[in-house]
Amino acid sequence: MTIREPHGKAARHTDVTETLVAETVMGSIATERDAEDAVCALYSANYQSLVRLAAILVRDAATAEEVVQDAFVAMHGAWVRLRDTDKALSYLRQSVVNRSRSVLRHRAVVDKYAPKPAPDAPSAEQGAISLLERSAVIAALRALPARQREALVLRYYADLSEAQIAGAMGISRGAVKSHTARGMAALRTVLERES
Amino acid sequence: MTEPETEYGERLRRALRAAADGVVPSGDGLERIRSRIAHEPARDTFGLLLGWLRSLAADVRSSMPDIRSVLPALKSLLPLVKSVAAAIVPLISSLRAIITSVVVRLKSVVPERLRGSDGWLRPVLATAGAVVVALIVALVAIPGFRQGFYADFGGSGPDTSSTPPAGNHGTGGAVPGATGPSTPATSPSLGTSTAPASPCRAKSTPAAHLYTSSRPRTCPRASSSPAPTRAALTPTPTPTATASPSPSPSPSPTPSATPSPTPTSSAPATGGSSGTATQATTQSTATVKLQ
Repeated sequence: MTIREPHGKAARHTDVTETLVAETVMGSIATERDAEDAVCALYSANYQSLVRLAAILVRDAATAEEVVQDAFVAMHGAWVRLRDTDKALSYLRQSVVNRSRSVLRHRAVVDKYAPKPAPDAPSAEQGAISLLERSAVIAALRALPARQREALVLRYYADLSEAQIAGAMGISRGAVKSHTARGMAALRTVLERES
Repeated sequence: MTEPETEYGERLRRALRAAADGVVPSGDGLERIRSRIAHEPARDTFGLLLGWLRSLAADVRSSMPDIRSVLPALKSLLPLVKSVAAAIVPLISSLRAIITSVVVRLKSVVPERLRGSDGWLRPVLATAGAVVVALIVALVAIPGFRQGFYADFGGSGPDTSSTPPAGNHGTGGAVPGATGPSTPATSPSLGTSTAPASPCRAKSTPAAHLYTSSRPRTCPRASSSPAPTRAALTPTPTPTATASPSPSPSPSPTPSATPSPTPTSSAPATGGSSGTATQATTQSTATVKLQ
């Protein structure tokens, strides 16, 4: 079966299978190229801020970088669904928050079952953590429940709106309000002391 | 938001910024992301289905001895099944008549809105059918579920014999047999994982972009999933295959015959590396001499 080429001046006959295969291949190549371009663009624009956001959440710069890189890889894999830079950025934020949550959960389990080190031997991770916890506010933030901490960090560090925070955390806007208010109330005494 | 809250918010913002500004990401982040993308296995539906089918095939292959051991028992049960089936056939026909009458009565009793296209009868029947199908599929496909099912309802026969394939690498060839194949299985994967790094890296250039859709699939497939699993699976039958013929020359002692083949085959290669292997060889030769 042959069809006429839609915009062909000459009456060249093209096989349907050939056309379909060519369209599929070109479509996948174009998608792949779009995904790589999006990775490059989003990396240059948002990588640093995302790493810092993850670093506040997981309290470790190296782990934060891994989390963000994983999020970029996942975004590249999901580009067929996204196909939009704005969607990709919100996907990245959500992925970073989710992966940071997973890291903290895993770390809690490891800390629970790991043998306790000697008191005078701080771990290598401790150096990176202490960098982030020089401030009493950050130390108090660490003591908050995970959801409250995430909401506060996304609100006051990433400057996201309530809707964006809700999307990144996978909760409703009302829950975002509630977490933010409770977190701020818990931090109030520390913030007063800081001033 | 009230005045003190905004003030607290500003303080919190300043503290967070001050803490986060100390974090400086490394410069090779994009390169790392690209290399991870290049080595990421293709997660399309076909690949997942293929992987599941592979694991299912490996599982069926490993549980083949169990099926073979059950077959004679099933054959002996065949006449009983035939007689039961002959007795059941009239029962089924009478059951069908009963069900038909019940359905007819239900149709007259149950209102139209319940049993129509929007009613509950069809969804309930469909759900029940789906549950049965899911149970059968889970029984066939998921080994843990099947083992649990056997343990609960089928006795200990299939459960105990199906545990060796799970611990195949440890039990099949004892210690030397298990460590032998595992090291080559890991080392080629490392070698191949480093080797395709250059073509995958090269795809960052614009000319190589055009064929990136096929390249990343070939890179991980060559390195990660199939090769180690095959390499890990195939050595385990070979010790059992070498073990099975050797009991035939020395048929009498069943417990000592099974450990003997592996040390005798591996003893020259290892050069007496393990003391247990040499002990086993001396014991086996002693038993042979005694016979």
